[in-house]
Amino acid sequence: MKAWMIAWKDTLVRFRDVNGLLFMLAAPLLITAIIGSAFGNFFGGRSELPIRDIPFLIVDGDNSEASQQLIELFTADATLSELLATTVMADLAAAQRLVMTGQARAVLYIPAGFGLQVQGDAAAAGATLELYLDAAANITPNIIRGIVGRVAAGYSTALISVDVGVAQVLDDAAAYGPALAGLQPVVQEQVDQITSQRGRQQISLRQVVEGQEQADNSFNPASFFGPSMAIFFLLYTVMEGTRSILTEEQEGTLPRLLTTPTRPQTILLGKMGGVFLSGVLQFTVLLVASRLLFNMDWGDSPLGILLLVLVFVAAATSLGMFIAAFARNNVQANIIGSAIILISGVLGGNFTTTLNFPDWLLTFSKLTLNYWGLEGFSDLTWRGLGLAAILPKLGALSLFALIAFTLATWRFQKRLNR
Amino acid sequence: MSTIIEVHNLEKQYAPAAEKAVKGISFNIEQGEIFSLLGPNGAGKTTTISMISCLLSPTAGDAIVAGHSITKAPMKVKQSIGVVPQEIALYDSISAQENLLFWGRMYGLSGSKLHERVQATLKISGLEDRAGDKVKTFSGGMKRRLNIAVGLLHEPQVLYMDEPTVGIDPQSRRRILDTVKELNGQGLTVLYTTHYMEEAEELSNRIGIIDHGQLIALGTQAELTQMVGRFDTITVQMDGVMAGEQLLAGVGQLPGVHQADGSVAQLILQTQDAKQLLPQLLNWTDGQGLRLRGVEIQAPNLEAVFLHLTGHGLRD
Ligand SMILES: Nc1ncnc2c1ncn2[C@@H]1O[C@H](COP(=O)(O)OP(=O)(O)OP(=O)(O)O)[C@@H](O)[C@H]1O
Ligand SMILES: [Mg+2]
Repeated sequence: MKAWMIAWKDTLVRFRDVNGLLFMLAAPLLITAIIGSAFGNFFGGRSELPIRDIPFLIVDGDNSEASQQLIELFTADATLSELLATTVMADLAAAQRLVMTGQARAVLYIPAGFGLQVQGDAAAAGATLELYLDAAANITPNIIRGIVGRVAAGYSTALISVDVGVAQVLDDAAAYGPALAGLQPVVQEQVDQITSQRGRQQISLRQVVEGQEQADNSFNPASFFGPSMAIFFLLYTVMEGTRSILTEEQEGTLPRLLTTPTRPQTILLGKMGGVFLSGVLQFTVLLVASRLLFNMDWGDSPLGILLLVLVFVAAATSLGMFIAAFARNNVQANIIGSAIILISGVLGGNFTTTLNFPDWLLTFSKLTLNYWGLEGFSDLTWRGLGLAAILPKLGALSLFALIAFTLATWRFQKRLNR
Repeated sequence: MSTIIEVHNLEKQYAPAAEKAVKGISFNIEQGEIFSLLGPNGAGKTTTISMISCLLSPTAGDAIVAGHSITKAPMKVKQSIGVVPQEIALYDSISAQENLLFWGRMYGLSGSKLHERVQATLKISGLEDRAGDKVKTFSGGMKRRLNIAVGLLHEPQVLYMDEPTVGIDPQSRRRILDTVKELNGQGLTVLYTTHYMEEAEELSNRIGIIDHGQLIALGTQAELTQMVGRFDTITVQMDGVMAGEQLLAGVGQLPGVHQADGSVAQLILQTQDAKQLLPQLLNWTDGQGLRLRGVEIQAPNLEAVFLHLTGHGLRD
């Protein structure tokens, strides 16, 4: 009961502080809005994501005039050769390995017989191209899919069938840059022609995703940076909140609390509870505000979001308590805390996503709360996954929370009983 | 009268290598009295109060407060005492009333009792009309009064006040001293620490003089001044050049000088009869080419007692 009173008092103190509130609520919303509109699609704005030179392989298993023509389409076009760094290889297995190891993003395989199928009598049987995509990457496969679809369509207006909705893919791709957006009218025209000649659609593009199949949801900058900024600023709030125990120690209210008939454990619990409470409140306000102001999509699993918010705030609170417990004073805790927030912000992918991080860097990412939190939110939001998908992330966060909490309380008990 | 606090050989050593901040202090406080600990900065007043508030654990010794040991039953002790810390310990960004409500709850009050006590302490501290204002808008004196009010919320048997008048204007100080006397008149036992001799003299039934972690004298004001009872103190301020040793040796020769301390800037003499000594003193200093700036004669007081016991003044 007393712990609750202490928690409530802290919440009261915190929400009276106008500057603090601005930092807690206004700043993350503003930054989400700025980043979101710079990258993506709030307010209907679309601009360029600096993606270029995507490593792309073509394996020509046909070696016909037709296949040569198709390859030329990829390499001759100036825009395309800027977007794709295309290499032609002979060995399909080798090319696939490059995709698996992340050295290339996709392989387009032109199977033997392609030329005959396109030109000859066998045309009626339909021609097939195979596209192998990198499952670990999230943005580039969508772009490649769009480009290949467009090129295949351009190759022969009469002989095309692409089993991905071409218009849909281009629409997605357009989100990533004006270069791609410019392709749209051309392709649209072709697609219209195809549709009018429906009976003759004969090249089919078969997609094969390498590795584990991913939910077919494209990366969305807005729904990434919303949670990302919420997490980043939440850490600041939480660090400041947990530091308040050191402030109270310095300003004498903590010693005074210890002269009242209140147990040290109760005081600690109350202080942590207060930080947790404001953290959850902050996250909830950000969530609701971003939904209302920017129409941001927080996914289809309210329970998942709720659990993730609670567990993430608990983990962040424990981390803050841990730092406060071992820091000599407020100033030191502030320096250590800020450094940890920045470093784990960068490592955890708050600013860049970890999508294109190499493996060695990901190892470090996994040591941050930010990584697990962001992965969880990404699962629920733009990846469109459910509660089951985030269970491992919840587990990792809970483990962090437990370890930091245990060490922090152990240390504080010693510190308070002088 | 019964004893409400018994302090037995309390010691505190902050760090293994450090000198002890409190070196085995013992005293009793009787129910209903105002007991002062008088001592200069760093004497160990706050350390002593912190130990008998169960905030610091003693390195050695024990104390019984309202029948409970500070080492064995700290929660029971905490329930019986009100503590007014030396440094103002309040939450700045919430109102006076919110502070009192919060601290009242920490003392275990709730419901109508809580609200009743909040009103009562607001009244005692004269802050009723500022109850809803944030503490950070308060003057130093108002904060001091609220700081005291918090210690009174749960109607403690003993109130510890650690230098409650430090750094405030004379008016606020007057008000606080009157409040202490009034509360004591209603039966509250008070442990008061100060380095102002006048406060200890005005308030206390009994006074403990503390210096360098030791209690060097204990008694009523009358008992203490009797220790130096035969001597007046003459404080002389002069301009001129003369080595301290030479000066002290010189005035020491004058008839009736019991003790001499200080320098040309401030010379402190103990004498049996100041009126007799003064003309001869002035004669002598004149002869040495020292010019007089001020003279003060004081009948025996706690300052003189302190000087007598320690050889140095209460204030540096
Ligand atoms: N937390 C601490 N750690 C180490 N030493 C301390 C600590 N607090 C006090 N001391 C030392 O203990 C001695 C007594 O200090 P204390 O604060 O009890 O004196 P005080 O009589 O209250 O002085 P003041 O009138 O300045 O408040 C001093 O030498 C001080 O430096
Ligand atoms: Mg002190």
